[in-house]
Amino acid sequence: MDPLVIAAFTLTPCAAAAAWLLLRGKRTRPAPRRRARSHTAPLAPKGSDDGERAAWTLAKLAGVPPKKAAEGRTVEALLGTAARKRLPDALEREFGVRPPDVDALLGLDAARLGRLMRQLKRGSKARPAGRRRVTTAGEAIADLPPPLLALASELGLRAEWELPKAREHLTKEYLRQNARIHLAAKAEDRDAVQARLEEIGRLRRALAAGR
Amino acid sequence: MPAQGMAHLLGIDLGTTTTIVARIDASGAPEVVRDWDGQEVTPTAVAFESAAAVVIGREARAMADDADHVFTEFKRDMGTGVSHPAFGRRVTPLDLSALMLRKVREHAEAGAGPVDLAVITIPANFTNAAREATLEAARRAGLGKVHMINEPTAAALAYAHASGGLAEGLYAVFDLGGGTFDVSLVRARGMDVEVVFTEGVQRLGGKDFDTKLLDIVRAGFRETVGEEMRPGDCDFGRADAEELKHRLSSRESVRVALRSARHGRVPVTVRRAALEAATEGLVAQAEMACEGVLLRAGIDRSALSGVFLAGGACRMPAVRAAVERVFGRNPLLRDPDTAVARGAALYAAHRANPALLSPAQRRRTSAIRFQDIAPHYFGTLAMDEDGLLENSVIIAKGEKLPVSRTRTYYTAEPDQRILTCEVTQSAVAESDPSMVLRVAEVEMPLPPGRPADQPVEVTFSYDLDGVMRAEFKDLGTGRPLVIELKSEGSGRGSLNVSRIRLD
Repeated sequence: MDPLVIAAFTLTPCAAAAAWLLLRGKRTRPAPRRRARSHTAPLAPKGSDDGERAAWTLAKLAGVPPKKAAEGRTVEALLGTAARKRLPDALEREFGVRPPDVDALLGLDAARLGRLMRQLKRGSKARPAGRRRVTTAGEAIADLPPPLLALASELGLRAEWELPKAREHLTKEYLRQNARIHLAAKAEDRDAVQARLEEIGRLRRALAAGR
Repeated sequence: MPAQGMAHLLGIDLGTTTTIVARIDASGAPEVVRDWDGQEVTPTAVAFESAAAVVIGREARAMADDADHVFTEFKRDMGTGVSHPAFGRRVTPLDLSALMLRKVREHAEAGAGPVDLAVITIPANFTNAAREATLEAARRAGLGKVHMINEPTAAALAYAHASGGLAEGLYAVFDLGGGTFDVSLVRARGMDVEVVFTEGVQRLGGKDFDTKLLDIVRAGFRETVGEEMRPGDCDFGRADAEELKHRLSSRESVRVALRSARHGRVPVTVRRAALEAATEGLVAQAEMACEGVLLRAGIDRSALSGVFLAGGACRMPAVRAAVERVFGRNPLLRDPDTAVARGAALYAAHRANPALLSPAQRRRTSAIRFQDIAPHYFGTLAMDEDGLLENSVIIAKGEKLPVSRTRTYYTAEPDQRILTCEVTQSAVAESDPSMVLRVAEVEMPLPPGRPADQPVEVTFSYDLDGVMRAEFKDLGTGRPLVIELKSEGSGRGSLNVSRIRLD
């Protein structure tokens, strides 16, 4: 057989395969579909502080501008029943930690809710075993149940405060709350005030740890 | 028993859970009067066997299973308007206190003659309504002349007396009773006692510790038999919890044999540590009140010369440890159950007409000097510069009694026809009107046609017997509106404006 014919039979499939491979690499791919906003992406703009992040979360659920949600209105005032049910998920998305029962959050405004979420985040982080020196209110109460952390936030206790300052603040708040028992007209209201005072007592006990 | 020619002076500690009575004896010293069962301490309990038959004290408390007609701890509801049904009528805490006091008076008078003067002790933070309800109960009980004194202050008097007049300096009095907690700072010089500041918690006492202990026992029962402890099945009640608490004060653990109808004997071990863990919120409250009293008085704990304890609940080791922690001093515990009643009897001697006292009584009690303070902040509601309503304090808590303070306010509008005169009360200095108790509200008519800014002089006075008087005087016309706050004895236990006078 003519050597040329042999070469043509051998090389043609190889050239075709090489050309196919080359052409395949150059083919234009369809543009990837733009992903929907990730369910883990935070809502608040970068650089927002905790209060602003909480305000953005509340605003989204309440359907109001974040500025309005940051005006000191409580969760109870801002959110309806359906929105309250969605609040734990929304806060978990924003802060990376799930909050306690919604009922414990109702009395908080955005700033205090933000502080609580930071406190919960701090408490959720694993800490080295063994005794360590506790110097701030945040460290002292980190292991308390979430409803007590919510109460601490509601009472204006700041995580960064040193223990003596935190104790003094709590004492003042306790005396203020204690005075409310005289305002409660119904027996169940007085019981509620009494239960709250006892919870403040438990907070106080935790703050005594670094005495 | 007082002899002929001696004054019959009683001090009555009408407590939430127990009542103790003391009188000034022939030598002028306070002595505890044993009750009709021969005991120093009488349970504060009233039971109705029928509409007419009433049982008081230990026997009533033993009937506590019949919860519908047995009443205890009613002191906590004095002045609140609470009432309970009993054989077709409603009884108030005031009614029940009156029955308790009547029995106490009748027993004290049997063989000793009529009471010349009685002093009833009340918690330091009792509202005016509760104070007036207590006075009204005393009147209904047939106690003629009655004064009141705050419980921690009475305890301070008792300690000062017991020290033989050697107490000198600033003392803290920690009074944890059956239902209420008070802490006072007092300055003592011999028998001269001056109250510096006081704080109180209306619902904190031994009873709350008993409730926690009951919960622990119930949990132990559940753990042992796998079922809840039901009232009809197991007879472990509040009185048993109190007894158990007393035993845990001296022992680390106590084994309780519960008798269950369904499960027979159920052993439950209760540890003191478990009680302390369950009650740490209660103890911490007392600590905060102590810190609060130091804070408000602006006194460092290093300035204290000592700490006195009163009230049976102070026997608990955790409570004593808390006192030591807060005040940095080992507290003095001397007959804490009866200190308040003995102090009240001494105060009765101080307030009695000296002509009534025998020479021995006069000699022994003449050195008593006493200075009390206003127990609350009293104020009125006024508009601030922005037109917002705020509470304006006129008499501050801690001011020495008797006290009278005047402030001038101005009418807000031209041709203002009405002036709303309000009296407020609060345990802390509050400007927020929603956080204060409005004890009186009266409208005063003003003459027409005057411009705004007419001066109105407001004078509040508080006397040694706790009677509050408020006078609102329109300086333009010189017409005063006087409000005197007293209970009208309606039985509802609420404070009423007893007298309004527009001259």
